[in-house]
Amino acid sequence: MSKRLTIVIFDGSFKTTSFINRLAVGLSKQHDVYILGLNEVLSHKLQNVTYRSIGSNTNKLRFMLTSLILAFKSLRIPMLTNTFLYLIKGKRILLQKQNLNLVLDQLRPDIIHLQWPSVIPLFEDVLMVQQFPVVLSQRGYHINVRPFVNAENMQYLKEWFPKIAGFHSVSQAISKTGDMIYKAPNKLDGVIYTGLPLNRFPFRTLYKRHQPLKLISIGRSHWKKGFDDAILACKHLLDLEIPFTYTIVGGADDEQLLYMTHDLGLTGFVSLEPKCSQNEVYDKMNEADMLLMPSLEEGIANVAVEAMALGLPVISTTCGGMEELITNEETGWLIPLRSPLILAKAIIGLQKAPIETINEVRKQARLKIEQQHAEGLMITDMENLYEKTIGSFKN
Amino acid sequence: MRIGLVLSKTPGYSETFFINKIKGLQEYGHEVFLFVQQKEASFSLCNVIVAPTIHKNSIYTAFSFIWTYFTLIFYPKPLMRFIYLELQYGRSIYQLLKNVYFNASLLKAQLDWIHFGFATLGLQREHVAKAIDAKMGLSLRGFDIAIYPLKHPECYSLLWNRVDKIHTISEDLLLKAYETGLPKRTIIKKITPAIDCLNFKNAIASYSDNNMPFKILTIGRLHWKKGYVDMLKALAIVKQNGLKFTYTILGEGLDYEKIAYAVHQFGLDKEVTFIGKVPHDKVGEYLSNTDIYLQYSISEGFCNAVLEAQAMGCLCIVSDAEGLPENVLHEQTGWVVPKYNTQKLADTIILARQLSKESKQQIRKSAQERVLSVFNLDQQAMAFNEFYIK
Repeated sequence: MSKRLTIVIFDGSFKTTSFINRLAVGLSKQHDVYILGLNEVLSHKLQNVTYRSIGSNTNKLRFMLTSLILAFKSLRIPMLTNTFLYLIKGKRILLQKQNLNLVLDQLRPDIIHLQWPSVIPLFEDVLMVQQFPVVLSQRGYHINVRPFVNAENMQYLKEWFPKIAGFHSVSQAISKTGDMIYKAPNKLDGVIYTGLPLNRFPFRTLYKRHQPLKLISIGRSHWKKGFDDAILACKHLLDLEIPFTYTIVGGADDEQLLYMTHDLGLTGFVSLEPKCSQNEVYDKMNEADMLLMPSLEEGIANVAVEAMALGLPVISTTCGGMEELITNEETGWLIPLRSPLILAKAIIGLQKAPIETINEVRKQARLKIEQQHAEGLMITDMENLYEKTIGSFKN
Repeated sequence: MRIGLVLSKTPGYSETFFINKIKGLQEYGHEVFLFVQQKEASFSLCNVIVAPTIHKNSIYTAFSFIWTYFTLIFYPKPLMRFIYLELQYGRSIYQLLKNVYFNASLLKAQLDWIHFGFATLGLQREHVAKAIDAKMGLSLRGFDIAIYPLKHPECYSLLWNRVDKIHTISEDLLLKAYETGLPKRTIIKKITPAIDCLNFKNAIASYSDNNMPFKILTIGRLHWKKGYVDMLKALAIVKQNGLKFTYTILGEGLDYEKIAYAVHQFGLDKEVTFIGKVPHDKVGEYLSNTDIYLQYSISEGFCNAVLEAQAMGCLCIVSDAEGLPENVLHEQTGWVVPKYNTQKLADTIILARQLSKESKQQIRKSAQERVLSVFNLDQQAMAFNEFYIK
């Protein structure tokens, strides 16, 4: 892409996900990248990326200051009057919308990239005016789950999706699900997989199974992760006297998992740990024998991509886009959704499989990541999507 | 007697357990005082005393602190005793000051008994009863005993050593309380929940013919404890077996999306209806139109809804969680299926559906008779009266 673009990325917070961080850093090499946010708390800012607040969600004083400064800078009396009125009346959302419009007026972005459908309400004015093209990422829960269990949400998305200039889908599967919400002949929808800086993910050449087996899952404490199924699978392993330990990183304080672990007699076998830094996660992955992904819903799970890059065998459900990442017994192992017994059997299968077979799968998994999930590919594909979106928006 | 019942808020109309308990004690001539943090304006069953709290406005909280401490000057004996007991235990000054503030209304009360409706409500209040020269009673409930101590081990060690008498709603909860360190010497009284038999006398649910889609019902919060996903998984198996049914869920809760997504993934959209929260006086209408009542909970103290379903003549299938096997007698008044076994649950639903008319009638009759004779309000009121006077 030749033209230098002004790109606004918005996911609600300055502290964005690792995918968005990698995208922002990658794009900033060729373009001017701005991250707008409501939550300004951030320990490490990304290099070459500019952060602009549209009013803190957590600090009233900072929110007032941001709003007043933006209104003063606009040099428009009505804007100042509005700001004072909104502040007095406590109209936070209206002020955030005003602040957003003022920041966008200053930046004049070539493209706005929204990371979640849940942020659309803040951008309704932008979408109505159609001054700037908006790309929306279709990922996970907000596409796969909420519209299908909440009729009001489905109706809302059906109303606003036609005003989105381009869609970014994290997998083919989610692209198809997105079509169930809104489909049109001129819908611009690019599947762009998550990308990893592979030089920072050294492949584990020497793989050795531990005795007892070291199983690991990583993810936030949320029902969609299906960790309860993994705990039930552990109960089967215990009944079959398979020696194992299972760690759920991010599962600490989850009431249901804690109860089930105790109720099923798995105390001492299952450990629920708090979330930790990314480097610590990678260390834990390098010490584990298998990654369990019992999820009920995923766009495409970053943690599985990272595990495969590092050379950790992955057993995953077939949810969402996981079949685009894993081919059963070639690049990992696939099991049906909500099937603890089959998960237990898959674990036992891996425990008994010749080490050469596992090594071959690990090798193919790494190759798959190199071919499908290289960071450079993600950036180029995203630039192409932006270019197409800008082109079609002008027409 | 003057009995102070401590709850987090005044019980709603549907919280029949506490409502019935208060009414029963009043009928026996006791004076009941309710100590809560939140009061519903409509509640008028007994005297309600709202405890000092932390307000959103910190200045208001500061004034509240000053006023509360000032008023305690007029109650020097219980106050000094409370401070002594707290310091003797080794409570930090900061925590002691907080405990004096939050427990001020109890410290000012003249009571014969302080009864904590939940064990967690007794935390940081372990010395209040002794300070005001009252006895301390406490009820074991599902969450407080089955789940809270897992997150907070040893949380009840002081409380267990200060309580005079324990009320349990089931044997299983008591065993769990022993696991958390409750001394075996503690005086225990088991009083199960009860229902108003007058509402269910001669009640008969209308049953579907065996060639009609049968009607299944569950009542309860949409919460992981209630095991909805397991019930849906079993019902997906029932559907695969070619049986036609409708499944109605009464209740609301934070886990709606989890449960609704399971409905979607299991392809049960046409069979399942979420009704939301229904006033207690309307529940009977749903029960009277139900063939099978399901309560396949992962954790459950006892469950009043199962009692009402049995009284109404529904066939009840429950899990073996905590108090449920005492609520339903396996293969006598319903079926008790081990937890986490969705295939077995599906088999039991099919079995219950395919039973002969006579066998179904036998189970319904046994359940109805047992509930009306064992779990009635008169016996419950008598038992609570004995709890305090003996």
